[in-house]
Order: sequence, then C-alpha cells, then structure tokens
Amino acid sequence: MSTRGRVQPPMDHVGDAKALADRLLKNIDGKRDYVSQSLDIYTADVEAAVDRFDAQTKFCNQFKIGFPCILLSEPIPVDWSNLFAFFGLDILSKLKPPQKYDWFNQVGSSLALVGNWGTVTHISSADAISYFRTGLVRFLTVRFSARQSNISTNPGLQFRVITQGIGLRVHWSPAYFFNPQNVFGSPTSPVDAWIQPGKYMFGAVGPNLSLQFDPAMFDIPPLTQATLVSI
Amino acid sequence: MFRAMWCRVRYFIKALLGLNTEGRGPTRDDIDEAKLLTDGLLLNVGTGERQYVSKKLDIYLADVEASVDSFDFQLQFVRRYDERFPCLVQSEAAPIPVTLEKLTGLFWILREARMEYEFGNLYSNLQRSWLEAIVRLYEHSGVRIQLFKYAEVIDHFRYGLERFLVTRFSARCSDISESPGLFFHVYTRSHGLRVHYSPSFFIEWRVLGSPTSPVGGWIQPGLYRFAAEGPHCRFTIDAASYEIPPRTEAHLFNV
Repeated sequence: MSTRGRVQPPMDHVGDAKALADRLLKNIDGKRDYVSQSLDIYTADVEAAVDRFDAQTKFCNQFKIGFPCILLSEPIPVDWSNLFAFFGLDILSKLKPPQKYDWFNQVGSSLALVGNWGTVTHISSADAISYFRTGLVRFLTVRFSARQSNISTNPGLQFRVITQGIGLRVHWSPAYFFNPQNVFGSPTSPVDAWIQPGKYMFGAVGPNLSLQFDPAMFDIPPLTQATLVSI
Repeated sequence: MFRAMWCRVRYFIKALLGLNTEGRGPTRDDIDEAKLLTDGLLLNVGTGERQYVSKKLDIYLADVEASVDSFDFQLQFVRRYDERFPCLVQSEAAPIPVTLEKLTGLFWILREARMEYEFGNLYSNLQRSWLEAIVRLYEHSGVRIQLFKYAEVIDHFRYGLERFLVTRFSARCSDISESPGLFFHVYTRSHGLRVHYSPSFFIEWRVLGSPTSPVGGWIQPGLYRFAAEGPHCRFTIDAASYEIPPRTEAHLFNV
C-alpha cells in the first residue's frame, strides 16, 4: 500500500525506547511475561541480555548479596553470566565461611583489571534494576534513532576502532550491561566491522596486553569511529 | 571495497534465484591455507606458551582467534585439574569440544583473588555438578556429552577448526573487513523463539535473532550449529551442521 502523500507522524525515539524498556523489564525479578515481537529494530541481543540480568538479580535477591557494578559517571551493572551456571549448582553452600562471599566480591578486583575505572561496587538489586533501566533506555533511544524499515536485512552500521597499539583484538560491550566478551575485529589498527546501532564501550586485548576497556561511551550513530586513547 | 560489495551482491542475487551460492567448491589453496592457519593458531595450545600473532588476512578471523584463546585457557585449566574435556558426541560426526567458560570464569576470578586453593577443593564437586547440568541440557536435544583426554580433545578441535576454515576461505573476498558476512535465515516450527548459533568446532552459543519464524541474521562464512529457545520452549539444539555458504537457510525440525 502506497503511503505517498500521507503525512507520517514524527518518530518518537525516546518514547519508543521507554515503552520497549518497560515491556522488557516488566516484572523483572518476579515472573516476567515478555514475548518477543517483530520490530523495526534488531532486539535479539537486548532480549538475551535482559534474560541474563533477570536471572542474576533473582540470584542476588535470593542470597541477599549486592549486584556488582562498575563506577563511571553512574553505576553500570556487570554481566556475570559466566559465573551464573554455578549458582544453580549450590556453589555457595560448598564454600566455607568466612570466604563464603569473598570470591563474589572479587568480581570487583577482576573487573578492575579490564579498565582504568578503579573499584567495582555492589548495590542493591532494586538500584541495579534502576541503573539498568536508565542505561537500556539510552541504548534503545540510539538504536531507534537509526531505525529503518525491514531491519532484519540490515547488518548494522560499519564502525572503525583505532588503538594506539597494533596487532590487538577489539572487543565491545553494550553501555547498559558491561560484558567484555564480545569480539569486534582484529588486528588493529584500525579495525573495521559491523555493529548494530546503540551505545557501546570498546576495549582490546593482545599478545602482550591483557583485556583493557576504554571508559568512553560511543553513540553509534552518529559516530562512525572510536579512538581508544589509552590502549 | 568494490570487490567486497560485488561479492555481497552476487551472493544475494544467487540466493534470490535459489541458486547454489557457493560459486566454487574449496580449492587446493583453501585447504592448504586452512591447514596452515590452523597449525599457527594451535601451536603450543594448552601449554601456556602460545605465541600466535594476529595478522591481516582476506578472511574475518577475530571470532576464531577469540575461540582459540578461550580453548587454550580452558586446556591449561583442564591439564591442571582433570585431564578430561567434555565433547558433544553424535553418531557419524566427529566429537566437538564444549566450552568450559562457566567453570574457567570462576577459576580465573579465584586465581586473581589468590583463592585458587578454594577452587582446588571445590573442583571435583563442581565438575560433577556442571557435567550433570550440561548432560541434561544436551540430552534433551538428543545429543550426548562424553569426556575426552587432553590430547584427544586437541585433535577433535583441530579437525573441526580446519574444516570450518576451509569453508571460510572458500567464501573469501578481498578486504573482508568491508563485509558483514552472509545473510542467513533460520526457520523453526514454533513462533516467538530466539535463535542461537555456534561454530561447529567449539560449542559456544551466540545470539542470531528473534522472533521466529523465520529469523534472518548476518553470519561470517563457516560451519555452524543452531539452537532455539522461547517462553515455552527449552534451549534445544538442532542435530545438523550447516555449511555457510552454500547454505542460505536452516530448518530446525525439533523446535
């Protein structure tokens, strides 16, 4: 059906982002009933991240432990899904006091190794959900702002990452839920690859460099490249 | 850049016309280069003395390099604690190593925290519990998990990686960094599912797209496995391995 001549209402990226974030986070930490729907943005990556965050907040509530966050301008919840398999296996009961939760708190020291942002803090699940929601809305606003019809055939946007070192492999993380394990491209510098629109952080790893993340956040679009000034 | 765009356009035209998108089968060069690259990636794997250096190639390799790094770390861990590594086993197919990252993630943190002794004490219990969990996960999909010795698992990884790289080399275009990969469709019988994929040489799942059916997504050339999950559907793996290209779509019959 032709839409020529018909006046289209202006797109409300922030409103759409809030509506989707509300739907994704409805009953989080309780019984979620989110059902995936076809949209004009790619959402599978976000849906998977929210599923992981939901499971992790449930665990923190069950055992009354804080949710780890990195501290930048405001806390960003950390995706600790690589540890999560254990939590269903009753690992805590197998640890002896007083070390019972020490190792969990050490998530902080291990994360400090991948960035220059100092300490990792543990906050309540309710606060973690609030920060997650804020970051998710910002991320989705950027993604909605780049929307096109039939997004399913769009590979995302081409993006360049420049590092000071050469021969490195670049990794990325969504800015609302820190997870440094996503591979972008190699070897630097520069590296060009495709990425879905959103708000991201970048880091790099190499033969003589452990994984390091730049604390800057990049809106893609409008940005088309990131220069990691300290890596 | 022009050649990369032409490769993509050619692939789309052939896919639209329902033609085989392979263009050509693997050449002797593809096979030789895959073997050479596999040897380089796996040199000293599991010993803690790998010296692999990433170089620009005419295929995308960052994903493979990350998988090999991960496998290398996991082998070092296995050597230290157990000597056995789980593999996914199906009849008429070579065993495929399954990532241990859930185990090694914790190990890494405890090591950094100088609490490695805790892990040593826990390991036998944890490994048993972890294995029971993944056996349950995979047997639901009709595949079996079996433990293999250190040297055997490297052979299985090498075999799968070499075949994967032959497929990737056979689909190469110059300046691959300009290419987002190939567009691939996955069909499921149920609707509203999220589809995951894994390289066929090392089982580690990544998100392709949602909701089914179908979902389309971009994927770099290679040999892949697919799985799906949804609100009323457990994570279920399809038994088939898909060569991309020439394949442009997968039909998951069990979900």
